[in-house]
Amino acid sequence: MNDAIIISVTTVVLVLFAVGYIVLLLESNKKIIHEQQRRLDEIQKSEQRYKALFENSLAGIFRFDFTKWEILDANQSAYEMFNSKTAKEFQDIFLSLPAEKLEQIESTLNSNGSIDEYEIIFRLPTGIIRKFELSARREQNSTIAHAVIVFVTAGKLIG
Amino acid sequence: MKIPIFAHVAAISYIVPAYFSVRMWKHLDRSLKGFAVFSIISVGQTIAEFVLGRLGIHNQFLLNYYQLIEFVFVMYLFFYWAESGFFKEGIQYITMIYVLTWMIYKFYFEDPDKFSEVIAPLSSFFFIIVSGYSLIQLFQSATTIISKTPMFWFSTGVFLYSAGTIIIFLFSNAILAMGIEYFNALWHVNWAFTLIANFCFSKGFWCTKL
Repeated sequence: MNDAIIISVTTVVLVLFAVGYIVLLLESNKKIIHEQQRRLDEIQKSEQRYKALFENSLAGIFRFDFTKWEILDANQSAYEMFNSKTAKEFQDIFLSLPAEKLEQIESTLNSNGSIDEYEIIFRLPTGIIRKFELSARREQNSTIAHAVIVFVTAGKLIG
Repeated sequence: MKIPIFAHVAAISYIVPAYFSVRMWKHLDRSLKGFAVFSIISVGQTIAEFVLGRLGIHNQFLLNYYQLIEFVFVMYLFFYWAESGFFKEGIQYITMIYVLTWMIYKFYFEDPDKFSEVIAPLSSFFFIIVSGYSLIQLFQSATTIISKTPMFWFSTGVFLYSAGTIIIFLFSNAILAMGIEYFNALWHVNWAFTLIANFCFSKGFWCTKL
């Protein structure tokens, strides 16, 4: 009789430990996943806000590789400013700049990490010559930069 | 000897994971296909045990062989899921130790009229360690709710069954010596955990569809 009680009690204790262990793991897992989901939602919201700002900005905003002058992403205002429809057309306009200008931008981004209100003159596909101000910041340890470009006249009006 | 209804229910419950394993076969990976085969073997073993028992033939030897088969299949499942080399190596050593112990016990110490008080508790002990560690490993690498993964259900089934039965396996002959009423009463624990484990394995197979 005593042995039966000891066996039963020991079994119950062991099972309680086992169940407790599983419940603890499940609860901790739920908390972690819930926290991950919350952070993911915040990131998505932040991305949406950034996207809205990017798409609706009056300034031209774009991301580019400053060693190849490849346009990776650009907003509608940037395309409209340069009368271009595709990233390739936009890129060609940049590549039409004098080589020393491109080298100057590249070397400044390489050495300082950013370039501020750098004046450049473009000849657009329509033949019109326009002056712009380019500001860009380089992504850490990469050849990619985020840039904002404005018409000088527009810039002066705002200033 | 009249067999309690709960024992029949526990025996029948082996059909459930076997059924789900066949139904989910196309969704199963190699390790789970191995476990599916084991689930079908379990049904066969239960039927054989029942028939031999009804015919009055000693069926204890079947259980001893079954324990070895069970150990190898379950360890293969955990080995397949193990992420670290350390854990994989540990499972290999544990399996070698168990198989060696089983063989030594089988050839030198086995009493066909008695429960093995070494083999079954030893397998339960190893199952608790390996399934418990698998659950931690699953928890650490989880990117989703772990209860939605087959690994959680198989590990939980093995973990709960082993923790619930290790003591009664360890003292099975002592329990038998107390009398058939005590044996029947305490063996309900084994049948209850058989039901729980089979539910967990069925859920594990079902999860593969998700």
